[in-house]
Amino acid sequence: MIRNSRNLFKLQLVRYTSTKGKENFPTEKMKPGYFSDAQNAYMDRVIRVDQAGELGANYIYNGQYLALSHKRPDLKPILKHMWEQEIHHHNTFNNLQVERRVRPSLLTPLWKVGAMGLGIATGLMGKEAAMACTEAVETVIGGHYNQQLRVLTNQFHVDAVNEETGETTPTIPEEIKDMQKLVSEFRDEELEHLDTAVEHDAHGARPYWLLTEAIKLTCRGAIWTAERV
Amino acid sequence: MFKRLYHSVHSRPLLDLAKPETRILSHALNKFVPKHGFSDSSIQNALLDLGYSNNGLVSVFKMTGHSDPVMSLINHHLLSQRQNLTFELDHLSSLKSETSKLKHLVTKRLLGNAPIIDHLHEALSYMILPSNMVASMAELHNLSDDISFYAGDRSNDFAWYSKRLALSSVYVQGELCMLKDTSEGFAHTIDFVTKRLDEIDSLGYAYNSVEEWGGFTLMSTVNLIKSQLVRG
Repeated sequence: MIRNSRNLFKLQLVRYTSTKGKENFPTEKMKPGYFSDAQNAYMDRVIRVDQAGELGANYIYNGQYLALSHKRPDLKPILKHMWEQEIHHHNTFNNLQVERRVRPSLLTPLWKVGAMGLGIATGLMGKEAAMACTEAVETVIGGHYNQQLRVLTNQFHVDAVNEETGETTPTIPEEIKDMQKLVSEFRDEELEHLDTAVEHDAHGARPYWLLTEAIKLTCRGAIWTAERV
Repeated sequence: MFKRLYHSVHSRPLLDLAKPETRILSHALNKFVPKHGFSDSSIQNALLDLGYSNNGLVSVFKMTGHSDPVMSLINHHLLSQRQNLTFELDHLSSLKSETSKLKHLVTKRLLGNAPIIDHLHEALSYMILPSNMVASMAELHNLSDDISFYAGDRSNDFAWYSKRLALSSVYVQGELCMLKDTSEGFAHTIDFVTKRLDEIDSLGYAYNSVEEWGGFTLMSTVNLIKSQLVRG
């Protein structure tokens, strides 16, 4: 799985270079423009917070798997499947963080401990609590990815310059298009996890409201912090 | 160090030679700094040499973001040296380990100071003035970030920070060592920096080994307790 995800990322990198400037530009002479400072700062935040988020997801499933795999062997394949998808997401953002030279969140050790703790705690509380945790986390993450997609679609028109005539055309650069594809793909997978959790009695957790709302609040706080620190 | 921005596939070049102030600073740096040092007179000479009038000195350099022409000149030196590191990328691919790449880059960067070595102390003392401190530190961390990136650093966690901090401190120590170094080709400095980088490398190795050992011990303790519980 890990190896697969690396290969996938390589493919994406190859696409960055090979199709750059061919799909959306009518002539070869179009020179992509530079991002503004605000756009750079936004991408910086996006990659840092998504990396931290996927690290969290990876560790939550790790904790749940540890806590539940002996008591409930029937849940093993489901948890394993979701966990592997999160590992793939995490590796993808790790690679992006290195390639795009974004600093990782300073609180990475805290995210690791917190996420692992959350996973183990909800896992020990039982199957329903674990699934309610997944439901709460994926609800927040789904909304968070949607918000990013909105900004990536609306705010990332960069002026590409036609080198022959000097005309500028606002275009969305290839690297942003790839990012949109990536984010929407990951969002769909996260929402799939949400459905899986609801199918597996997430609503049976007690106290359901308190548990999910508390986890949602924690996730929003963590997102806010990881974007900045 | 905390204000590191996203690097797009198409990033702006560090120095834009189309801008007149960049050309003036380059000219001053290459032709006059070795003689006049980092001073107003170097820039004034460059202005006259390029056919500009030297009246609007300060107003021209408002544009570079430093209100003070001397700091602009120093910063231009730092930026152009940092840009020179990109010419090493071909050579780097022939080096195997990350540490050997780091050594190569740090050495190259230090030797970039050689033409202005007689005036390096002026530049350093100017850079650590309280009003210039923030900009100098930012540029130092940009340098260590560039070096780590070119050397192929792939750390995703706290190591990202510790590596860059260690590199910055080695670089500053190297520069200070260089001030007093009279040996041929700065052999003492290079030797010193190489040793320091080796130490950091072994420190990182020790840290990773301890972590690995800790993880292994934890897992085997858990397994031991589990097996004892099963036996009752």
